[in-house]
Amino acid sequence: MPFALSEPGAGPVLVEDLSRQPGQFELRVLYPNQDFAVRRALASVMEGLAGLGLSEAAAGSVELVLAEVLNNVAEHAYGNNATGLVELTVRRIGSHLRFDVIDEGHPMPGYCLPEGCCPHHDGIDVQGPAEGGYGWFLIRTLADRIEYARRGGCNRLRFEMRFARRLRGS
Amino acid sequence: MNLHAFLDGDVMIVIPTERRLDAAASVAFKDAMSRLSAEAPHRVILDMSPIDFMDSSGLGAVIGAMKIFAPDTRLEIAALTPAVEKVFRLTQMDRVFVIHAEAPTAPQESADALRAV
Repeated sequence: MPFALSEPGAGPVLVEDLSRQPGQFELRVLYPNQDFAVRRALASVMEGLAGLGLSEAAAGSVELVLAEVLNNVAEHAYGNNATGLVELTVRRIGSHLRFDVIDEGHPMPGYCLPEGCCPHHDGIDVQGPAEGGYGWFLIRTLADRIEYARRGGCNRLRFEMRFARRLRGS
Repeated sequence: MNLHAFLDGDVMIVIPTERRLDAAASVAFKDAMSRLSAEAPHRVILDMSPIDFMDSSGLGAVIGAMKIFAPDTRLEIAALTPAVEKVFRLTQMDRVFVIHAEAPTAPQESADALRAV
């Protein structure tokens, strides 16, 4: 059953539960690229995932990786000021959660995923640590099976994250 | 992002008033820290206990604040929640910052001293 969440001054986030049978989990979130949309989309996904009983650490990693991915879409694919839609689907595949993120923004540079080295893997220079460049490092550290394709004028990013349950009683 | 600050002896304690230090909050956080830098003593401790989510933009803003304060003021970090601790650890920023398990609490009589930045 689709329903829309909205806040004063904020565009709608469409959240659809596509689960068809017990044990299946599929959630689709659609939102327009604009200020604070990433926060609201993340809140919708984390609320949707709440019933799966993820451990606190697993849920924290999911929220962090998704935030990095969706921030990259806002800042690089759409360049912050551009309008466009972002479609995010989360499915449970056995012991993993699979995420598909589709946007209509600019392609990744060179049509490739960034390498995502830690910015100071060669040591921290005298200027101090870099202020940016940690996003893809965190994504690559915490997510598995990351795939990127540019098809039909859209960026399509897929990744998986291990599904760790909260221990009973914790 | 709003911050509260108070002096504990010769150390300034800074406490964010929001729960997310993310891309939407990072610029305002760095601006607020920057406003503090003129009057900051040699040590500032950022009490991060209210922050239950920080992304790489938020981490970048904390690193940026450290650089704004340097070299006269050292920015230290305290009371990380598990999600925030993970970001510091994975990026090895736990080796760059002095991180305290707990933050000093505001003395009772200094309600006036606790002020918004």
